[in-house]
Amino acid sequence: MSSAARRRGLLGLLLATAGVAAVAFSVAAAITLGPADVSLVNVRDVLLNHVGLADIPVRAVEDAIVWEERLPRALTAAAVGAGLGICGAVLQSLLLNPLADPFVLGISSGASTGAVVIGVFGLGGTALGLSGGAFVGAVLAFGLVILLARLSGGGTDRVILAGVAGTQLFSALTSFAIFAFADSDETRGVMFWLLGSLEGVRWDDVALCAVVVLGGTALCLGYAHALDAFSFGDEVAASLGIAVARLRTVLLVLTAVITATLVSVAGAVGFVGLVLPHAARFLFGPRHARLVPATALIGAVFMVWVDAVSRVAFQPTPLPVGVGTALVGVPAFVLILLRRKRVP
Amino acid sequence: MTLEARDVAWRRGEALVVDGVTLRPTPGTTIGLLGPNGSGKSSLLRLLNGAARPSSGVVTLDGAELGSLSRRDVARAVAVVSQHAHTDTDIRVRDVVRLGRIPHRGFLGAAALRDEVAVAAALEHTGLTDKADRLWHTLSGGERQRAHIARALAQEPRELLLDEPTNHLDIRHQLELLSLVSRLPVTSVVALHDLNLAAMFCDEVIVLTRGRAVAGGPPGEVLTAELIARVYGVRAQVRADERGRLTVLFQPGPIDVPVESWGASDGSGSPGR
Repeated sequence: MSSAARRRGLLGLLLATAGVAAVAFSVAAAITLGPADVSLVNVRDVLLNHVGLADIPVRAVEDAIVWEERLPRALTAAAVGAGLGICGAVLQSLLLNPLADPFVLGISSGASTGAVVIGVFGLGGTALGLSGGAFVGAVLAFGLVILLARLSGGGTDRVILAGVAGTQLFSALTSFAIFAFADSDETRGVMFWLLGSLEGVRWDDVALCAVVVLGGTALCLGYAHALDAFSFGDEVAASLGIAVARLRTVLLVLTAVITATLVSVAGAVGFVGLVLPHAARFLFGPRHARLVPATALIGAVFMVWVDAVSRVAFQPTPLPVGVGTALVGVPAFVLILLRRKRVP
Repeated sequence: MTLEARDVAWRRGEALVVDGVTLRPTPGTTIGLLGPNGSGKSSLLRLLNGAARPSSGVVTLDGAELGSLSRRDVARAVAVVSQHAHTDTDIRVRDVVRLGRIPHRGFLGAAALRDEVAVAAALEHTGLTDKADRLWHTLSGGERQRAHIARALAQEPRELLLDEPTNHLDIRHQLELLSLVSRLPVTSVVALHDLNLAAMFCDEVIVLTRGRAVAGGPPGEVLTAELIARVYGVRAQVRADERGRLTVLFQPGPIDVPVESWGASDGSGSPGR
C-alpha cells in the first residue's frame, strides 16, 4: 500500500471512530432528556448494571425509565436514521436521481395502506398489528412497483415513474379507507403513526432494526465499488464489468427490506433518506466506501436528537418524529443547496 | 488472438441495424469506423463490448464467445469510451480515473499499489496529472473526454472502443486526442465522422452503410471520391501529398453517382436479406 493510501485509511478509521463515539454520546445524552430527571451518571450506572460490569444501587424508577423506555427508543431512533440514510444514498446512486429516497418506490405509502387496513378493519386482529400490516403493505407496494417498472422497460426512469404511480395509488387507497370507514379516534391513531413515532418501542424492536440495519450496511459497503461505477450511468457501469440488471435488483430488494422493516417499527419518517445522503456527500465526497458509513453515522446522530427533541419539546404531548425531521431537515437541505450553488 | 466480430448482425425491432459485419483488427492498430448517421457504428461498438448480443454471428475475445464470459472478464480486456457519459456528482478527476480499476477489484477490494500505479500512469498519458484534483463540473469538454479515456486506460485493456470521441472538441483537441489514441499500445476501434481525421490517424478504416460494411482497408485505398459520393452522397476530392497523406476536400453541389447504390435493396429503408 502506498503511503497516501495508508494515510487515507488511517483518516477513515479515525473519522469512523469519531462517528461511532458521536452516536454513543448522542444516545447517552438523549436518555437524560425528558420529564423525569436522569443524569448522565445515572445512565452510566444503569448501563453498567445491565451489562453485568457493576452492581451500583440505582432507584428502580430510574432503572425502568433508562432501560425499558429511553434506551431502546434512542437505539431504535439511531437504527432508523442510519438505515433510511443508507437506503437513500444507495437509491440516489443506483437510480441516478438526486431526488430518490427510500419512499420513492412506493414503500411508505404501501406501509400506510397496510397499517390503515389493519387499524381500521382489524384484519388479522392483534396477531399482525399495525407493524405487521405496514410491513406486508410495504412489500406488496414494492412488488407492484417493480413489476410495473419491468413491464414498461426496466430503465432507471421507469423505476421512478412506476414508484410515483405506486405512491399515488396507495396514498389514495389510504385516504379512501380513512374517510370511508374510520371514526375519528382511529383516524388520529393512524395519522400519528403515519407521521412517524417511536412511542413504546421495545427491545425486540431494537434487535430487529439493529440486525437489519447492520446487515444492510455491511452489504452496501461490500457493493461500494459497484455503486461508484454507476456515477456515469448504466452503460459505463456495464463497461466496468458490473452486471447492471442483477445488481440493481439485489440492491432494490435490499433497500425495500430495510425500509419496510424500519417503517413497520417507526412509521413513515420522511426526509431523512432524502437529505442526509446529500449532507454526507457534501462533507465526505461521493465515494461509497466513505459515503455509506458516513450517511449511516450522520443519520443515527440526527435521528436520535430529533426524536429526543420531539419527545420533550411540547411535553406532555409528543410531536410525531416525522414532523421533527422535516422541520429540522428542510433548513439543512436549503443550506446545502445554497452552498453548492454553482455556475452552470 | 484478440477481439473479433464474425458476420455479426443485430436486429432491433424491425430494423436490422448491423448486417453481417466482420471485424478482425490487427493487435495494436487503430481502426476507424466510418459511415453516415444511423449506419450502425455505435451499434457495432455495442456488440463489440458485449453491451448487446448479436442476433446472429459471434463476437469473440481470445476465441471465447463474449456471451459466455462474465462482464468482469470482458471489462478486464475491453474498455469503452461512450458518448454522453455525464455525471452530476461532485467527483474528482482522480476518482473518475479510479473507476477504471473496478473490474480488477474483488467484493471488498481495497486499493492496492498496482491500482495507484495504473491510475497515475493513465493520468500521465492523458496529460491530466496536474488536474487530478479538479471537480468534474469544472472541466472543459476536452478535459472530460480525456478523463474518460484516462478512466478507460486505467482499466489496462487490450482493446479500446471509442464512440465519436472528438465530438464537441475544438480542432486542436481533436488532433491531440486522436494522436493520443493512435499512440496507445492497445488495439483501438474508433467511430468517427471526420474523414480527414480518419485518414490521418487510422491504420485501417471500415465504412458502414445501413449496417453493412461496404469497404475496408487502409484509408489510402478505401477513401476515394467515388466511395464518399456513394456512401455519404456528397461531392469530394481526395488528394494525396508526396508522403501519401490524404486530404479530403468537400464541394457543394449535386453528385454524379447515384446515392445509396449499395445496401438498399428497396426504397423502404428496410434492407432484405
